[in-house]
Amino acid sequence: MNAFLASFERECRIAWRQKMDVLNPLIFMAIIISLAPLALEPSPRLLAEVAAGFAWLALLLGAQLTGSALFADDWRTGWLKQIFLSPSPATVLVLARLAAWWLLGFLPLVLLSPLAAMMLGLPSASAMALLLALLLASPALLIFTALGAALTLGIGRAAALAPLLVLPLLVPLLIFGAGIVRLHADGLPVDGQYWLLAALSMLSITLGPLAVTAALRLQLVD
Amino acid sequence: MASRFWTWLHKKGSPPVFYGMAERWSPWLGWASLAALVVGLYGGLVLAPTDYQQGESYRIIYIHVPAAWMSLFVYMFMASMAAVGIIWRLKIADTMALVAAPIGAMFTALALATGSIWGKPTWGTWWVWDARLTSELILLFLYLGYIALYNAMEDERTAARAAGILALVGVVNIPIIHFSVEWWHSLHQGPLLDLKKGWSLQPEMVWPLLTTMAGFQLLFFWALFRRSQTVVLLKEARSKWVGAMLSGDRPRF
Amino acid sequence: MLNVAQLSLGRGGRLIQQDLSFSLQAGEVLQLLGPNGVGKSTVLHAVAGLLEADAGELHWQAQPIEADLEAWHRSLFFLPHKLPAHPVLTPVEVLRDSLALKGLKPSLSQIDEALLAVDLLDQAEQAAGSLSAGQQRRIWLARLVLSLRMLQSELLWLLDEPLTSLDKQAQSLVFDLLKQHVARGGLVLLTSHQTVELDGLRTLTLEVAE
Repeated sequence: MNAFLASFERECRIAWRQKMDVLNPLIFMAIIISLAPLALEPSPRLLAEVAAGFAWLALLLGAQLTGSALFADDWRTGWLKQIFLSPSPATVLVLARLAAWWLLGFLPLVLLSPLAAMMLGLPSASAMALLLALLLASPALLIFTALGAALTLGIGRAAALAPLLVLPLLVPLLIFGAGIVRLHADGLPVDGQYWLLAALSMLSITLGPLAVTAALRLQLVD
Repeated sequence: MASRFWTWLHKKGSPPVFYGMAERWSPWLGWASLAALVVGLYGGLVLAPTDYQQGESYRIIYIHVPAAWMSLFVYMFMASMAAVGIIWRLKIADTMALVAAPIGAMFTALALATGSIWGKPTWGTWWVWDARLTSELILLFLYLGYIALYNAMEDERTAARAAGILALVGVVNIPIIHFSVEWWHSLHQGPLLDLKKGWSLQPEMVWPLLTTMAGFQLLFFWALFRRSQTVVLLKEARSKWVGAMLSGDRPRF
Repeated sequence: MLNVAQLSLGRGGRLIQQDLSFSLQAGEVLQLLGPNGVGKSTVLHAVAGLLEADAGELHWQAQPIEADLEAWHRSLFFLPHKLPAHPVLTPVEVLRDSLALKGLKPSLSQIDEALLAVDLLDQAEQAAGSLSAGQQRRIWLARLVLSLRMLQSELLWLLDEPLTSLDKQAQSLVFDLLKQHVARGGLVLLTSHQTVELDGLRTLTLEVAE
């Protein structure tokens, strides 16, 4: 537990010093959202209709933008080797890395998405449903993104490859997550879908870190 | 007992032994596949009666259904081989997973193409976001990701392990993806009729379908063996047994 | 204490070392020699357990290392050729984080003393990214100092090219640290293209596997 906290503190410290890395995806997402009215047409009805879906897409892409380089620094500086040679289990330390990134890299994106969707005219009640869906889905989203980053570590073209591997796996999150908002807008019950998202996140948290650690273990020699 | 099994497995998995086995089995698989496909397609395209609802266009199922079935089967096969490679360090399993991927991607592409061709007379358009077609498309992306990851890595063993992890994650996800796409489709059910619902195959239509499915299955194993042989030869190019074989003195397998 | 038997290693589908065996007793320093690409660094990684060997066995204190990985990881310190110093962290933080991985919380004065020993105290609060290559390596020499002073269990040092980009003075500091480590009964396995000035140094020249 001490190792987890120490590692968590280290990652937060690094993220805090590299604030631009946290801000870039937020700006990226804001730009994607502002492109929506330009790409479609600025009719309030149409925009309100696509708002939630667009927010989801922007979040997926924004997460990929930061996520695909998640372990790059640790790998380049050799820190990964130290992690795997620590007496504490590597999975615990990887989990600390993920937790820190969720807090500082991911949560801001999740919080911004509903606001962005409201800018496109999503009613505030639906925005709350969107926020809850995003929060429930975010652990799974995070784990899959981290898996893509871990698998493509050490490949020069990683930035282009990781999203290619990860995005198809995110389909269920996107479908249930965006579906919730539409059902909610139609006044239908969405509890089942919330539970589904939570279940997917639980499944990812249980199995995901093992897969991420296994993938990282492959890249310890340069 | 267990240790004898592993010795046996690793012996069967050793490159020259595998190569010889594939050499002996391939012709049988190849000819059997050809025969099944010829008989099945003749049965399906000529003997089977016209469908009262869809007319002649339904006959594409003799390609479409086996291709769709194989697209899933090959992914499962690939993931199992990857698991064997990761758990028991069997190199030949890594090789089979590697060579199965492009074959699976081909079957998936074939299923998509035939589905789309079938859609034209039925829906009046080449592409519709139908649940099955969408699932199939995502499956194609999973295959492409696997192939891309494998090819991006220089170290063979690392590539096999990394791609294997991806394949295993994919296997866990395929049912979830399938279920989610079904749910998504039910949410948006338009005026379209589902291609495969609402009519059932008559018995005379069924046997050719089963025959072409068997043919595709055999075709897969034939292609798998042939491709694996090529990869084994390339990997083992500098070993003694390959040298002996190429110099004309065929070793007895 | 450290026993490597019949180690076979592959990289990129090619066997680079076959049936490599050597052993190392308390107080011994072994330098791996050989041309580029022969796999010196790879052997070091395999001994640390960072690379899966094709075959072979590793024993530490007469136990296979898999028997107690945690104890094994407590016993060894691995200094990679590439420097594990994150550019936005200061030398103090790098050392503190590195010891935290071993479950230790050094006091600031302990860290300062170590940095003083490697002549890096003036840069203690500077981001590592702004330091020169030699200065960055000195952070890790300070880590070795801390190993000597605080980590009694860290008996095996695996040093991958520890002399790279160090000036004469820092190099003699490394030799000095090695001597102290040997004096406490420590073991060192290192690779270097430079001459290591140390009494009782053993060398092992690796040859290309056929």
